[in-house]
Amino acid sequence: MKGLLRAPLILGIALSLNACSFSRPAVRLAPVLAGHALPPGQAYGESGRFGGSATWGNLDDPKTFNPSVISESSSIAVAWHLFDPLCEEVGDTMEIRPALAEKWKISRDGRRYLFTLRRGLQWSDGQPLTSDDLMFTFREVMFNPEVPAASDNLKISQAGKAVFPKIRQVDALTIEFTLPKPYAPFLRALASVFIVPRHALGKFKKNYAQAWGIDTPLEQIVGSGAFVLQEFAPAQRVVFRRNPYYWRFDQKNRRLPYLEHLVYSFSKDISGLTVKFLSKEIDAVGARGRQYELLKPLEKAQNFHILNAGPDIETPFVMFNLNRCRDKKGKFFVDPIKQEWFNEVLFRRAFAHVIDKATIVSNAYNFIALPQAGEFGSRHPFHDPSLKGYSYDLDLAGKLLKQAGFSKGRDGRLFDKKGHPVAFDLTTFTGNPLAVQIPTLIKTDLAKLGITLNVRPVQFNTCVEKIDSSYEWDTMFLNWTAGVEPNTSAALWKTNGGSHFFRPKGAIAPWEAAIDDLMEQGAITVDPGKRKEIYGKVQRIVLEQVPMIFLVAPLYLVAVRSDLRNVRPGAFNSSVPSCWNSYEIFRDRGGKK
Amino acid sequence: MKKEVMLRYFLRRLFSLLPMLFLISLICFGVSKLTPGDYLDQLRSNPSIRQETIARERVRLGLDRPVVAQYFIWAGNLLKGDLGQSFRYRVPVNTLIGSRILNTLVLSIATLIFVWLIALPLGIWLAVRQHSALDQIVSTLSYFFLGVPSFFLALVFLWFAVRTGGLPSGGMQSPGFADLSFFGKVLDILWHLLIPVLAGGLGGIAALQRRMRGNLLDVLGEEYVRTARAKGLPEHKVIYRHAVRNAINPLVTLLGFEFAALLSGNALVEIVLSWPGLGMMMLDALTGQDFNLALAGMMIGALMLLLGNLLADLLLAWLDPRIKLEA
Repeated sequence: MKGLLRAPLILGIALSLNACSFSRPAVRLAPVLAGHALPPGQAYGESGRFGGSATWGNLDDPKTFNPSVISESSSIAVAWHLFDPLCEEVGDTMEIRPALAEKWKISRDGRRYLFTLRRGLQWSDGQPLTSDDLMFTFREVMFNPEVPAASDNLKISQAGKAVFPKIRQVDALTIEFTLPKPYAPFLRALASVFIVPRHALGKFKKNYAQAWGIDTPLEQIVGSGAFVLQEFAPAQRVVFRRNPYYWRFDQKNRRLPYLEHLVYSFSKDISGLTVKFLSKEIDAVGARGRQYELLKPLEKAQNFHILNAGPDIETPFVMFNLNRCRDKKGKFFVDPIKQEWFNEVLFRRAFAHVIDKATIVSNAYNFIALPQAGEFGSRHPFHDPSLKGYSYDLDLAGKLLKQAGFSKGRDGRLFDKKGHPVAFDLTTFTGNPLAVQIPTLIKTDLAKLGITLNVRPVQFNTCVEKIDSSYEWDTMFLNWTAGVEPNTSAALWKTNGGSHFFRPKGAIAPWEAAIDDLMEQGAITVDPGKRKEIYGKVQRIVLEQVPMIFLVAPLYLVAVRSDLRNVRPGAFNSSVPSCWNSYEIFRDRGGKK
Repeated sequence: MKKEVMLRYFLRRLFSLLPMLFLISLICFGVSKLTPGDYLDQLRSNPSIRQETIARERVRLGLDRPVVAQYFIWAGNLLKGDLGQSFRYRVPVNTLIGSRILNTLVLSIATLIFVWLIALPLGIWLAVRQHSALDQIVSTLSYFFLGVPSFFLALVFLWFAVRTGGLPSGGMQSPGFADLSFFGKVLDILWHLLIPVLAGGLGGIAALQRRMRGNLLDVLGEEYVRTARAKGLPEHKVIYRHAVRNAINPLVTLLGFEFAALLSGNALVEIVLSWPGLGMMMLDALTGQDFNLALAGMMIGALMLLLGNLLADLLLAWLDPRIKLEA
């Protein structure tokens, strides 16, 4: 994962519709949504036995232990077991469930969120966890402009400005957020906010971002998660110890977690992790592509099994540069001849029809992938199964090109209306073999229609520079990481989103304007059914207009030692895909539970 | 007298390092700035991060200032011994390097000792037995190990370790390291050193052994050796007292280079075998454009090279009476 367009772990889903009501003086609110489907504080999986340890392999060290300022997954992977949010995303289904908050209520107008903490919560040092800590987390840290907190997804755009919600302390267990306008992604955004202890972090003011760096003595780090830190050996391992004050209980009402120790063992690449897995140093490892081929025959002998977590959230795509503007010197960013091709929707559709996704699945992914039509894979809550991608159909592609005025020359090359041979660049990034292999397959496909595609692998940074500032590219191959919340893609789809990569400036097409409206509506529509409809429309427009062609979704597979139970990997949680529920994972060595 | 000359020479050389380091710092800084893109590109590629956040990060990291100003701030801090903050880790670079440098030194010094302890006697022994069957076999093996890159050897050994299941598959410590006694810890690290030292050292032994053998053969052909033999000196005295001492001098320069490579020489082996040293961190810093950390790596490499050369010159002067230092 190169961090390509990777969105954080926020994102949106089906919330259960329970009618509840609460009242406060003066204003009477009738909430439409509430949280709990489970008895408070309970685990989801089967009851297990206590003790033992489990080791997970991880690619990268944590960069900090401060949960408020992190944005990259290696640090989130560690903070995940140390801290909890108010409400959480269940790692495999991505439902929102109560975590530190026992319940919440949302007012009918979608602007007020009242959260109530569980009773008797304690930090890992035994101090009580109250709404004081919530006020500290939100008011002093997340909503504080002086702190470089990872809080972009909590901001709500209002009249051209991005503002934070207002927060009010109601009593020792309750706080209330007031939003400037209804904002559907808010709940899921809260699920990515780890609550931090005021008594331990309150003393850091302006230098909050430097608090709890990786050189901090581990006993100073106080959390509310299932584990606490016991040892950190840089580039080697992190050892977690059971938090005796953890709030979650199993079905038999015993305090979790089951494991005495959880260990992360680091190795710099996936092959290193596979080696460690095969030599039984670690208990679980991701099994993409070649790893799968290597591991599958060893399942029985090595006593593990491979779990399928569904399509990965990272999807390769090809994007067209629709930019028709000139730079400051009056030079076009895109050659005017090529502009005509890329801005012709029939050309883009023909391109999409020429890509043989089945070959990409078989050749590049050894069949461990599925063709994908749109932004969202088949397990995504906003996936629309009626959406059909472009079939591999050379005849149809030929017809479309003819209709758009292209014609084949005697030498087999394709020429446009004005007689220019059709040849252009596909910029891709180095560092990932697939990022060259897939474009090469596409090049072969396009050659069948007489189109010359020049694959240009450059440094990933150069790709970003091209789409972000120099705008000098024809077509681009990158990976897209869809969030669970469709609104995280707003910056890409909306013309004023700041990351509208395929047409960063210039005149807006009617279909782009239509997407703008829909994205706007989607963000303020709280009703899950209606939201799904809105984002379905967006995907339909994208599919019709093909500014981007989504290719395939690799399957995310995880090899897990067979005596580990309750492991339920989910591809959406990119930081902790297979041990997000570390509190209920246990070692089953037979005997009494 | 000689001591005084040497001290003056040492000080003069040390002093001349300063302009050199200044130039190196300019080049390193300039080259780093010339690489396309910067640390913030990762953020820019993520549509869910807002522009103002990126702008704020630019200010925090000082990337909004003119390049010349950036250089002087950085160089000024460098003079105070402060290498700045890592962009990604948000902790001082000094702390980061400190946390890894010992591990790298453990590996490279172990490799160094392994190589020199085996290569020198082996070279001498083979020179004395030139053209014997054993000499031929070792020569062949040496060509093999010279030709095979260390990271590939590391991979082969790793494969072997996994197949047999006995040896550790990378890393420096066993998972239960913290619970071991002091003696147990030392043994554990030595056990983990086995593969990386072999992988990193076999090529070195091959090279050094060939040099030692060649040098000694040259010296053995000189006239004073014949004279010594003619005088009836016992053969072991001819070889060990006279020939070896002269044959070893050119290798001392090599030792200086080895010093330069102490911190970076085994980076590939470190990366392949997940050795928690500087290698991986520096590679990450370069690819992730963690500017201060990457620069620190380059500066340390340059400094080690300069110091290594100085060390070699001094050692040579000390060992070889024919060399006169100009103070």
